[in-house]
Amino acid sequence: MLNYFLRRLAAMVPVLFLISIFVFLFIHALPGDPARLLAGETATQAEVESIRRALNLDQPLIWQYVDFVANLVTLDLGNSLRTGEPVSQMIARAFWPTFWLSICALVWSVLFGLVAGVISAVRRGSPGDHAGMFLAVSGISMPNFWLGLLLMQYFSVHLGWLGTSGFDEPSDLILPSLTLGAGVAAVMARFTRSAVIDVAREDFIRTARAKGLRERIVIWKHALRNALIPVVTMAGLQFGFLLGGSIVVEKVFRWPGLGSLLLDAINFRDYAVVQSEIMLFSLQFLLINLAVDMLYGFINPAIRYK
Amino acid sequence: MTFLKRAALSAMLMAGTALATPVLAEDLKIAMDQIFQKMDPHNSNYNVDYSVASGVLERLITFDANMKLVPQLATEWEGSDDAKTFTFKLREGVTFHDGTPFDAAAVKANFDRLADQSQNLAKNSLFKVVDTVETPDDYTVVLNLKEPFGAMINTVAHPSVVIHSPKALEELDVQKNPVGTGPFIFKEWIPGERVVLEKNDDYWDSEWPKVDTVTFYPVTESATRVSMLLSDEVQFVHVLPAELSERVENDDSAEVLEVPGITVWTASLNMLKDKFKDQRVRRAFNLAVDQEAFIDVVYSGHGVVPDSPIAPDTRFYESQGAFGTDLEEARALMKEAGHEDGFDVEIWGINNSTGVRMLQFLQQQLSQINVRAKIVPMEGATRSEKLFSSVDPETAEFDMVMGGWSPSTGDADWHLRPVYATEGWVPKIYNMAFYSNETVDQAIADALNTGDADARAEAYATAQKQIWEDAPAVWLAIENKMAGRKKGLSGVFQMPDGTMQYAKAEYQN
Repeated sequence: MLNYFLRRLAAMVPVLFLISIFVFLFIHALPGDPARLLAGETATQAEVESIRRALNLDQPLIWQYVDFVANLVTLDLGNSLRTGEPVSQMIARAFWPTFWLSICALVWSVLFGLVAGVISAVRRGSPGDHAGMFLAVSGISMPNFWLGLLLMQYFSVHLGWLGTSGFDEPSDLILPSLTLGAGVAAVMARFTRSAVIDVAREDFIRTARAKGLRERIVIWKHALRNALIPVVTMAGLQFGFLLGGSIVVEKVFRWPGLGSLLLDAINFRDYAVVQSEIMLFSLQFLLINLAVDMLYGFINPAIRYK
Repeated sequence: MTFLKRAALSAMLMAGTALATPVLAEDLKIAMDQIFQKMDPHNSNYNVDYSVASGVLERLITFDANMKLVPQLATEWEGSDDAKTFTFKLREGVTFHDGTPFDAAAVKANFDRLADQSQNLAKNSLFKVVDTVETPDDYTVVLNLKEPFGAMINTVAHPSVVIHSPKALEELDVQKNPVGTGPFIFKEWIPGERVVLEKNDDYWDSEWPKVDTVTFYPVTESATRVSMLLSDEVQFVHVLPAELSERVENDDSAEVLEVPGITVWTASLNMLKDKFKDQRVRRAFNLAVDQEAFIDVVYSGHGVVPDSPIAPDTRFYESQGAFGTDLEEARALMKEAGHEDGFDVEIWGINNSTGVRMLQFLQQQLSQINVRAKIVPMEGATRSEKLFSSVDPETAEFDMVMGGWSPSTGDADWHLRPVYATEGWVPKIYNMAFYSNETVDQAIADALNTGDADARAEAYATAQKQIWEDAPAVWLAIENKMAGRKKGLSGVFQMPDGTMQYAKAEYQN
């Protein structure tokens, strides 16, 4: 198993290398000139040129790519074009707020999604099932920024219970994680429901019932455990997306995370920051996928790693 | 209870109350609409940076709420008649936050930095005309220019022309650690989160400041800014979008501030295209558009109709009389010009919600004179690349471009020259109509060649009249600058140029 783990880690290197080429080409293919954007709309051409020289943006692209990869290998991500600050420092600062927000959103939404999904599956066709799935569809369809602003208006402006935005204390996590998790909870609920319904048709469930197990054990132990594999895969995928930072939720809640950082960086064509962040997102996804694969073994001991 | 016990108890109670009512720190919190780029205005083109820095770093001359020049670190100033020598008398008894005395040498260090084009600072171009900076005595600074530049006083008042501590310029990175003479001392900047300032107890004007701390938050989502104001997390919101002003107005604890701006919004007509070479067509476009309705649609009614290429609060403005809306005449003019059946145009604009509303409105209005407009909303960075980085006037694809220009020096020169002079053709500055008129170019040059205000006013009057006559753009609106403020707070307000001031913040209790 350790062998398998190490092999998977090693296999990430060529993948990341390919991603680096793709990311570099992609961001440089986007129209937009960082020197002009930094200078501002009302700047004269002379001002723009002086900024371009100051940032070395007049070098050939291939050298800019070599610089970028050389930096990546040495884990020095270069400096932000916009602020001049080391990118590693900016990412380190933005990582934790996004990480905690993702964890909070994931925990409540997966627990909620699992319970709601199982109940819906068991009481399939009942009013409860319909109500649950109605909520789930609403959760998927409701735009995040709208839900966020509604929550803010009610809990912060109207009731005054929570701060509107920013990340100064743990309670500031509540509204953004509710907003961010709503979509995930809905996806998890629908996913769990259909997975449990599928498993419930299997012979071993009938066998379990036939040997007189209580319904609660049948559902929560036998059915759910076997339905978990697709559900865990989906949760991992969602976690990967969450860790990328939600631009919309972070903007609405003034969250000092990776999503806000990425949005500012894209708006200013801050190549160094955008490239580094996308590399980080890719790495996170690869690691989460690996973690999910390893989890399969714990869920279903029949799975062997070779 | 014995007397002693009582006495002890009351003493304890008194001590308790003394502890329980410390002097309340008065904090001012402000939500701004953009992220902060640099704490050094010499190297920034952004109003948000100028605004934040204005309480820390002061200028020689500043603007009052109506964009009139008022003294700050200079007490008097004058320009020579040939507009080549400008003399500033400095305020005495001023010290920088780091203890360095404020004097002519300090100002020279800053002016030299701005004049030195090899510094590659964003605002070096403002001081391109400066040849030498002299200091005849400790409190006099003289700017000698390479060529006459009549707008120099307003240039020195530009919000980027601040005076850093010369010691900080040498020893610190002033992009991150500004040290000035202002009523507030820079404390910390957490990028993307906040900037914190503290009261300067030794401020040269002993009456100020009246609040203990000022904290700025960049909050790019407008609805969040408003929620923060309404829940009293901030006491001031800069900028308040017109469409959210009602939410603030309807709240008993907050008020909407509104001043006419100096940003003039236009749809430039590409005069290198045959269809816009005819003055009658350009005039017809202006007559076909209902500017009042434009302001209602785009700014919820918060704006004024332009009646000159520059706004009323810009220095040397002269009204030319608004075009008004006259569809009959617009159609007649189009017919005269041989375009009774109209033609196709491509209009470039910005893809945010305001920008798209502008484009759609214009498209609808132009359809009334049979002009079929294809509107192209672009993301900000894409638009600026296509317009300012790679455009070649002869092959430019657009027929019309939406744009707004604000002259941050408050002087007619920095509106007319970039937008209407031949030297301003994009990509060089902002003349997106490729307008070129000898009378106008000459008048703009004449106005710079003299330090005499009357002569400058006359030259700018000529330029404004000619531009209005030629109509190289459809003049659309001067949007009002709006902000939201908690009632009971004074001394914090937005300026017509899009910056804000907070040095004289005070709470009425």
